[in-house]
Amino acid sequence: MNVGYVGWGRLASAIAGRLSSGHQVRVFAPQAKASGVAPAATLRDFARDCDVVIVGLDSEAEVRASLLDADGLAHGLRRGSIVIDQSPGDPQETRAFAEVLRERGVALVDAPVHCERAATFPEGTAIFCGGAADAVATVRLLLEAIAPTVVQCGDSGSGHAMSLVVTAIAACNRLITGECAAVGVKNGLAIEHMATVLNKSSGQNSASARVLPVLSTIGPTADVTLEATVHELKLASQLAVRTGAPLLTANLACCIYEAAVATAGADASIDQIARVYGASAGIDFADMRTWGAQGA
Amino acid sequence: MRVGYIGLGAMGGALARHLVGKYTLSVLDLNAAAVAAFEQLGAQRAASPAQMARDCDLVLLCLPRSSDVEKVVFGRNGLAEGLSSGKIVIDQTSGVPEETRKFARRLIEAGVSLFDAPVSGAMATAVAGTISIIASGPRDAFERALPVLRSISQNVFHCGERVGNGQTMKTVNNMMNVGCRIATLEAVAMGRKSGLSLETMIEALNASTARNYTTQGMLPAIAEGRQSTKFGLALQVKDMNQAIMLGVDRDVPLPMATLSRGVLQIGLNSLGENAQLEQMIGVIESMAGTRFAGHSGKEQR
Repeated sequence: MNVGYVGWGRLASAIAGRLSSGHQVRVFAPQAKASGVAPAATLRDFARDCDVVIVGLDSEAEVRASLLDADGLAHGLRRGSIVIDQSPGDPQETRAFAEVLRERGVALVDAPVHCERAATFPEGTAIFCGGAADAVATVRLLLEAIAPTVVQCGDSGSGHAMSLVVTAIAACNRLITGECAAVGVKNGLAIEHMATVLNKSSGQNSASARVLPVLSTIGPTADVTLEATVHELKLASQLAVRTGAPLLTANLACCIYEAAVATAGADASIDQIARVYGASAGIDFADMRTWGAQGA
Repeated sequence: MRVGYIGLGAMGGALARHLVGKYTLSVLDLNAAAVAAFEQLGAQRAASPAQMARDCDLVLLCLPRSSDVEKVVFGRNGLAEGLSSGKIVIDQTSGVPEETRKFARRLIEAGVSLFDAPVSGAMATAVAGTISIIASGPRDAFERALPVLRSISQNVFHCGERVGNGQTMKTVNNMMNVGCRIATLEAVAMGRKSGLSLETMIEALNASTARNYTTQGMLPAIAEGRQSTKFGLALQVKDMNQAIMLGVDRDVPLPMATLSRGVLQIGLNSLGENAQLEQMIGVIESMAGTRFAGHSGKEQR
């Protein structure tokens, strides 16, 4: 199976790296031209030799261009080949891409990777996929080489829909953990007591388990950026509007992450949420001894 | 050691049950039937809080609110009338930390230690003896009381020597639990309207950083048609109001907690004061016009 990879950025590079340890993978990236690897001139040419093309870009606009531009993948792919879309995406847009590709005899599998830390692919990393069952079955081993947990969610677009539900809840877990840590510290609780007790009680969540034990050093628990998270939360907001779901909590979370971009910077990791929350409460989590004393 | 327990409601009753047979136990509750049930088990009915305080070395309380604790301790025939130096009062109420500190200060002059040890966890864990007991207060009184607390549950935490920290921790835990619960139910409602099945979402959420107490407990229960909570919604709103006050008192903005408190309040106002927390599932469903369980979230009302 000839596998091609189109994508750049931290997560994409990590994914391409994990894939190439077990599979022959050709990577299409602008940098390839400079490094002397025989590059394909265009995505259309690149696609001609591939049975499977994985697309890992930052936005639906980039995916649209890479697929549908005059020199795009869709014009080079053979009938029977498969495109795996690992970019963040809007399920409706994904279904539209799938329709265009289906007319050309090409299957689309949306399979976004939920991973908060591309450097280590820790527990909690998973791939959610949508698409025809036979196409998903064909690429399943490939996906499992990227992340051991692969959840088949339904037809085209459902992988992207699931990813948005997951991102929305994960983003809320993290905000709520930061908010609780801030109010706890200001009311005299020690961080180490919170890390112990809350993680053994009904407040426990994936963020509290990872963030609270390292709160005084602000991580690292993640390398995904605030900007990327805001992008996905906005897609979730858009999905909520379209489906008629209120999504009050995750929409508020989206606003708070956006505000955090303004203060911590777009490229800051989502770990900075704790620092932003601390600052909003007048706390520096990195200087907890002071606060323990004042709180008491 | 002679032990007394006041407040045999759903939670207090389950906690006190573990003391039967292990200690000479006397009990009190406004509900005569609850007291009678403990008498059947061999406990004694105390004539009044004051009498219980005279007869016991250690008294535990589990009441709805701190204002109830104040009445039972300092009211007429209250514990304070019978307490003497060296005795211990443990408040298991989900109370207000600042109030509890005041109670402790009032008793300390008489040589009585009052500290807080609220519990956190499902009713089933209270019955099983595994519920989290989150205590705080002077180390010596805590150590003396520890065998009693351990006979209620093996999971006992001590969060510092300052009285009230246990209740603060419990309140922060509630805030975390409620925030994540509402966020999760809302996002899953959107998922249902996007055509995802509840079962697939449960698998995906628990395999990812979306995991939380609700994805592990309440969502599987909904899928299996089981009840997952047994708690009055009005009490949960009270807990969230206390959480918000922790923020107000110390100038901490709590946008997420404030929103989830509001959603619970909408539920309580719509359903009436006897509503159960479990009914919030239906509230979130109707807010989104979908159903969590069943074949398709899209086709439902």
